[in-house]
Amino acid sequence: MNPRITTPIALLSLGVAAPLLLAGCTSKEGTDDAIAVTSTNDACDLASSEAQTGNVNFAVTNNGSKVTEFYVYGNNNRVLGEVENIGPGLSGNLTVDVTDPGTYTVACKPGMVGTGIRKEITVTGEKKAKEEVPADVNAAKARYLDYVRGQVNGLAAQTQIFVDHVNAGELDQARAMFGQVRTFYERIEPVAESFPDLDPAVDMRWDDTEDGQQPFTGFHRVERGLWPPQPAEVGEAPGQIAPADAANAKAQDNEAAIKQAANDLLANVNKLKTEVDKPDFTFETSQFVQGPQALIDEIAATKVGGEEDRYSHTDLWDFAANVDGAETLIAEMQPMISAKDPALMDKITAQFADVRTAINQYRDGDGYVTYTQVTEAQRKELSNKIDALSASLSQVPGLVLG
Amino acid sequence: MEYLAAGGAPSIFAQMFGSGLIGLREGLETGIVVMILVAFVVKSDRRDALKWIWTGVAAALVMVVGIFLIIHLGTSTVTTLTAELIAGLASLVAVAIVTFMVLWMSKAAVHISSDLKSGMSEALVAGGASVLTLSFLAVGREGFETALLMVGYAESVSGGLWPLLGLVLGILVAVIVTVLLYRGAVRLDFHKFFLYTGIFLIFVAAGILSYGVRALQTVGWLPGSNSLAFDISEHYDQSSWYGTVLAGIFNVRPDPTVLQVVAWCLYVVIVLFFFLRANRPRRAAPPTSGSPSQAPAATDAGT
Repeated sequence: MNPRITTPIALLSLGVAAPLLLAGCTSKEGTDDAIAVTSTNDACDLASSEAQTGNVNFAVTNNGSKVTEFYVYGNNNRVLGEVENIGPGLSGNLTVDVTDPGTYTVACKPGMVGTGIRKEITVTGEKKAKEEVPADVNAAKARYLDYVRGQVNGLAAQTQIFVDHVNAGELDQARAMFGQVRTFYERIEPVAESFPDLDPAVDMRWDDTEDGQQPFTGFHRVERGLWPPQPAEVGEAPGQIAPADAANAKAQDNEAAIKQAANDLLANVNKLKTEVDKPDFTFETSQFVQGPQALIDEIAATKVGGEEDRYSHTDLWDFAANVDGAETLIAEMQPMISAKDPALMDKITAQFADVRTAINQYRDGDGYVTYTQVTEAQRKELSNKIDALSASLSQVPGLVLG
Repeated sequence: MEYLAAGGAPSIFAQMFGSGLIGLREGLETGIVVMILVAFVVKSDRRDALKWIWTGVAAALVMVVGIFLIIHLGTSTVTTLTAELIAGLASLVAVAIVTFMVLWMSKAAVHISSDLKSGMSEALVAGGASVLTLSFLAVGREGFETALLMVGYAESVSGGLWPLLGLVLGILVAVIVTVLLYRGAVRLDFHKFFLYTGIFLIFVAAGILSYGVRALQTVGWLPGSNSLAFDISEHYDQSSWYGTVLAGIFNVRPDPTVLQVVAWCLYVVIVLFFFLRANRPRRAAPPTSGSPSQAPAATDAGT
């Protein structure tokens, strides 16, 4: 009864219980595909002895006169799941996350003792990684989803104006806002990339068309129409326009085709908006935690040479937008990173400031200078800062999910 | 014991009896420790400490009902293994608190004098948190498991109300048993009361400890879930009335693991030793040094 001893014990136990509880939360599975198990005093009947890897559901009904239990065992009799206290006439549900294919033992235990009546089930399918997402990550994901929806709504509104300009033949206004429209898309690129059809349709480059064999659509097709390739820009180096690309532009980029491309772009952007606005829209946790690094690597790996906006040279808008997106993601995860590795968080913050400063020196009014004004040496310097940030960001997924 | 009706489904009697036993066991598991706590403060004329106990009980009940509603109405549930883990850890914490309480009682039993009440007052005022925590844990120890159990009943109601009725009856029986035990306990004279309830509580705590060990073995935090010390389930019916009562009060099971038996034996031997040593006949009792202003030590193991 010594409070000096018992009170800390009590507090400690509550502190331990809360995270455990969160870690142990699982979604209620629909029981349509559940394996029906009937337990009686001397039998354990399974409707099926086959299952797929992932969540395996059991619906256990007790038709015996004794209280029963149902267990699922892995190797060495390790308990993977159990449901206790199923009284006569009652049923209980159990969901077990089975990661590896193989043979598993299940048991009904009428009378709640002993090894029970054992049966085997065969689990087939691919090995699945155990999915245990910490609750704070899910909360951060939910907040980030709001940001994504906001950006996509902004993208849809701005694309509408942009396409209206193209359709009205107001090409100077269209050119003036091109970089800004793309900003909304580039900020949320990791999420946009989870749409395997929409992302290429909206954001493909000439390089993705297999030298013109596939239709060239999206932002960059409209861009090529607005900034027709000049002979001086044609070449094979990164950031230059390929000869086939220039030839294709000459042949195909007439006014009607560009208007068509712009209207298709608008349709696809609106499709994207519809998808992310759906209440049940979700994206992979892996995309979320790897998102910052993915965005930053985008710049270093595929943009710093000027490949992204090779016709308009509005690349710096994209860089800034990628950094915005990465910073937003990190801001959502900051509490988790700080809790586990405050030094890393400080480093990431400093490196973001570094990259931001490097990009800001090219600001020009509301936007950025054309990327052709950034020299090779300056590009290299930017690229180095980005690589340093990327190295720090690569530690985030393991830290946050670990 | 065959009560099977025609058609495969258990008879109404079997349904009610089976669920009744569950209710009885869960009710006893929950009620016994609280009952002893209540008897203890009532016996020591410290009825004002009852509020701590009831607060703890109420908090635990609110928690259980809250969890039940979240699971029943929501889209998430707690995995049974997590519930098992929480119950196991909570059991160990409860045992720790009960142990301090028992050993403190043993001191109290020695000093049956006017200074007992003042010492007791201090202990309870200072220990309000521990009394509250203990009653909370006693009731909420299996809170998640109980909530899952209730969800099972709530979702099976479509199949008939008999099991639910049985469960409620079982809980009522547990309440009656608990009240009878309480009546018997508070009738004892002061010294005997402390001696008997102390010994009783030690065995209850040993059972809770062994339960906690088993739970942690099940989820894999402790090794040896497969090495049974013995298995007399052939001769001992766990789902009979006596099996249920013994399981409810002392957490007896016919097939304990080696680690469970070791933990149970060690606990009983060690704690009982200290408890009885302090309860030696008073002629041989060491001169007391407890002054009214001195807060009682948690244990006299160090003397």
